[in-house]
Amino acid sequence: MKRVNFKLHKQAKPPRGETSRGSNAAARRKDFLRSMCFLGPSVLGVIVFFVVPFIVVIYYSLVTNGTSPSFAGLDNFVSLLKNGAFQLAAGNTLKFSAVAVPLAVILPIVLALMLEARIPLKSQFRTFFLSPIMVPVASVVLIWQVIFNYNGTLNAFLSNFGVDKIDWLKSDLSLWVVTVLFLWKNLGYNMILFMSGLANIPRELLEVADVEGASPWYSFFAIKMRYLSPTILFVAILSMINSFKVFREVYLLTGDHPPEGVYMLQHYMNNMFNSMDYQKLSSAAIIIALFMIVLIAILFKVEDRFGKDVEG
Amino acid sequence: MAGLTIKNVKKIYDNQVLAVAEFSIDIADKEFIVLVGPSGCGKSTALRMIAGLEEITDGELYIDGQYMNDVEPKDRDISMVFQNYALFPHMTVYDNIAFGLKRRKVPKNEIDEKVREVAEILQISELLQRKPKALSGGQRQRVAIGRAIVRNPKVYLMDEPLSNLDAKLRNQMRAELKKLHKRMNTTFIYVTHDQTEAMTLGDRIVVMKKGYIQQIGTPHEVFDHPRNLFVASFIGTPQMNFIDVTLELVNGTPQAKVMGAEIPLEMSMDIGLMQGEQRKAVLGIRPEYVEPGTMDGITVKIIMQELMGSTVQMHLVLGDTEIIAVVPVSDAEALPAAGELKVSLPADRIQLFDPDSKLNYEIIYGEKEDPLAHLQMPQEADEA
Repeated sequence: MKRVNFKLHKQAKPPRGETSRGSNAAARRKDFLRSMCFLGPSVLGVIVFFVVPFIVVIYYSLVTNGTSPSFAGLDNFVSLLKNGAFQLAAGNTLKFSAVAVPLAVILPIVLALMLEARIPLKSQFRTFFLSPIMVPVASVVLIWQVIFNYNGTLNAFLSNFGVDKIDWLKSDLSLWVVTVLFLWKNLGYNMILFMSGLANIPRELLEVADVEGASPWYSFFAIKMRYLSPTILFVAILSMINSFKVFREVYLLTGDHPPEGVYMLQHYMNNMFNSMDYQKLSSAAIIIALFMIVLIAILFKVEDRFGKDVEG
Repeated sequence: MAGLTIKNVKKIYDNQVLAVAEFSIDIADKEFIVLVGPSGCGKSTALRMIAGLEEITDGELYIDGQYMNDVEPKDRDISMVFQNYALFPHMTVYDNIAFGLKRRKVPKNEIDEKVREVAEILQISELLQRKPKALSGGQRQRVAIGRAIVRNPKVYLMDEPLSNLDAKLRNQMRAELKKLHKRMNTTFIYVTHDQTEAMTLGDRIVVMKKGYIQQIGTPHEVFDHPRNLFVASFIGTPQMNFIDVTLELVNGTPQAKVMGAEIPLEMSMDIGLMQGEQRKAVLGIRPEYVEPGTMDGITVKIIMQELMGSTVQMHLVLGDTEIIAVVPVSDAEALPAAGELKVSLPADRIQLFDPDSKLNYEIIYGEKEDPLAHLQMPQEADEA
């Protein structure tokens, strides 16, 4: 028995001295080349479609406009930050994110907890919340237009209760309309993420808590939330990125120049692109990217503190 | 400190799977009860119903005389130890042990006192500030046990608490659990699939199979008077030898015939036969009771010998049935290593089983009444 073991050991890991250093290096080089064959296409793709464009964006943000660009320092950023349209777009987007992201995290948790409990029609509910993912936005916008139009369904419905007509998309409530749209589209996916997160909580821990006299609230906040924290982080980042990019829905609802209340960063960037103002476009892109990086870093730090013991 | 009465408790899952059928037992105060059986026998489900983690489909559960079916787990005054420890990874050992007391709003200084006392008992005092990640399997299990005993509940429930430990540690912890039971002087209900644990720990053992109780008895009763073939084969390692025999009365004396040889049975044994009648039966005898190398007896062929340390397991063939004899090394040296050999089967150690009902002849023809007579496992469930 011992002998066999020894042989196996030998095959798996040759003792030092049996292979010379040179052949070791050669093997490593071969390994590298082989792995590059697999990685190459992806690396190339990332360079061509992400790295190079990003460098180009940085370049554009640092030079002046015109046919013979010269170095402009941070002028582009300064003029961008002073630009009224940008301020409006950034303000709207931040306002929107501040409302939509927490909701996009909290509501799916509630839904996931609800669907985790033993309730009738569970799978029907799940399908109901998931269906918006499968529906292309462009095809539903028509329905949203019908609902939120000045002479639309919602107003007709509310008039039954004596509520005056509201021009939803042009009023102060327009941001809320967009929030509802955003949630409608994103809830299901986030809910599925939380459901899988909940399913990963060791059942025994919740049972111990049950036996030892922990209240449901305690179990939820002290145990479930802790185990959900990586999912919360992921969902929060995802929702934040999505909320910064919220555009499609508003664009389809209201076109290039929507009412002030729903003029988002992406509209601004789209319009800058259309008017060929690459300087503003690039600067805005960089500011958004930096902002996101800082936010995500903070989230990671928080999650690291909160969830460090429950992972792996 | 409380007795339990469990009456016809049943568990049928939503998908109509029967997990526990007609589970009934009276558990005395301070008793150590072990539920044992192969996986899927319903032992864990039974325990979880006692804990309140699983709803009772039918039947009644009383703890200390109080009806408990609909009482929340936390109000049953029980504690539970799980197989995989179920420690809170983000809490220190101290906080894990103190968990139940804190949730019950016990004053801080009292918690501190109790936690330190329990840590002392379990020899984990120096680990109190560590987190579970930094503990070994055995240490984690001690913490889990600590969390269970610190509240001093009426009943301890343990679901395979030693299964995740390695063999050596398991033996050690087993002995400690036994000591702990003496010290706590409380009712323990312990689930395991390991018949050695069941034999060594239990005051009484409940053997289960496919949701049905097969036998309830002391380790001695279960070992020497198994109620049916399943219990006989499940309890004891190496397992009991089974030999197909034909029973008949020879001059009024019951005898078992196999391959032309005659095995005398106890004179007093009632096998329910008249002179001249014959019946097929399964003869069971424990390997420890087989006596190889006797002057007269049945001739068997030796296949091989396995040295187990202080004993030798002799693998023998009787006709076409393989049987095992366990003999002390000193005796084995005198026996041939190959070839043929005579073995005798002591009449007072022989158990007979009915091949159809699988029941022990003691149950069928004995004077004692079968306490589980009403609980006949359906044939098709048995064979499925």
